[in-house]
Amino acid sequence: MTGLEIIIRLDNDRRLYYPGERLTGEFHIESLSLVEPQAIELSALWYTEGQGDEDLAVHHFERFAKDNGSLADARRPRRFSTTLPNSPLSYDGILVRIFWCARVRVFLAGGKEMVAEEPFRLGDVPRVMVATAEEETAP
Amino acid sequence: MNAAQIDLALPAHNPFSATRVRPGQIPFRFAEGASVGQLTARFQAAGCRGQIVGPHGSGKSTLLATLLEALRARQRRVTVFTLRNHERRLPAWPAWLRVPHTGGPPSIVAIDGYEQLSRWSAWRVVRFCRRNGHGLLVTTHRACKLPLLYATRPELAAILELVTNLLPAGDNHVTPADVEVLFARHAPDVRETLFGLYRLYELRRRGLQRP
Repeated sequence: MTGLEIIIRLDNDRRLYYPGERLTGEFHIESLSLVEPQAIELSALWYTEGQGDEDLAVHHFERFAKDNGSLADARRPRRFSTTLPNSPLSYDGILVRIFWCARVRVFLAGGKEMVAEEPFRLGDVPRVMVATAEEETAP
Repeated sequence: MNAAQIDLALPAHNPFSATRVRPGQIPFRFAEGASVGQLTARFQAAGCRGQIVGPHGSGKSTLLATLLEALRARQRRVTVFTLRNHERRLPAWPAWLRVPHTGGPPSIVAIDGYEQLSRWSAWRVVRFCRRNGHGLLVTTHRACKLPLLYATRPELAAILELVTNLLPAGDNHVTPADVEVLFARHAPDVRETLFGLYRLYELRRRGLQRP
């Protein structure tokens, strides 16, 4: 137990964004202990999930670290903002799915780390449905 | 389509996606009496040479990942080659592997999919490792001349346990009966069974097929 909690909040409560729109929000660390993060990384990224190998790309990245003086107070809320790209759009297919999220990674002393994600959707591609009139037979 | 018409719910993750079931993500379930410690000891007793044998999709790569993690924890330097799509030879050896081993625990060369190498390439790999003092650990569909460490034979009980561990608590999109049917269809290929469960989970999640 590290006693740390990572809180990420997106300004758009519906968590739906369109290409070219600004993704804005803030994150902060809640801590009940004296554990001090050594570095914090914020990224906006997409990754795939499906039956094949995972693909991933980071669209926006910020790092705050003690060693370069950018992490004076780890508990202070930090704003982030980035313009979202045209693609890839969030996609909920059967064989592959594309997820977008804001991810905060906290690095602690001794090589430990914690990660939290706040998912959102880029674009409004409808959920994929199977193009057969009848239900598939089990299983 | 405007935003009011679309489904804004963020989709849940599929517990059978490749990311979650790839080798190294899930623990290998040993047959009664076997353990990673026992296999590591057997590997060392055999002069750091050994093979893991089993049919396609039966857990060889998962076991290899488990063993390599244990070997790395013992300060072994490990180089892994994963062969796919009928690769008949290895890529070039890294420079540091070309230096003969002197003192300390030997480095390990691990080859996942050893049966894909041509006989000539396989012979050269064995000779290279022997000459340079490196250990050699392979997975293969067909038994070769290296000492046998483990033969993978997946059983339904192990798959059921795996599925129980993968599914979030209270999630009944797939049932033990589904696992039984899919494993009977694909046995001994656990990977194909998990692919089947992935697809079934997606269909059920969308309400396209009743449990």
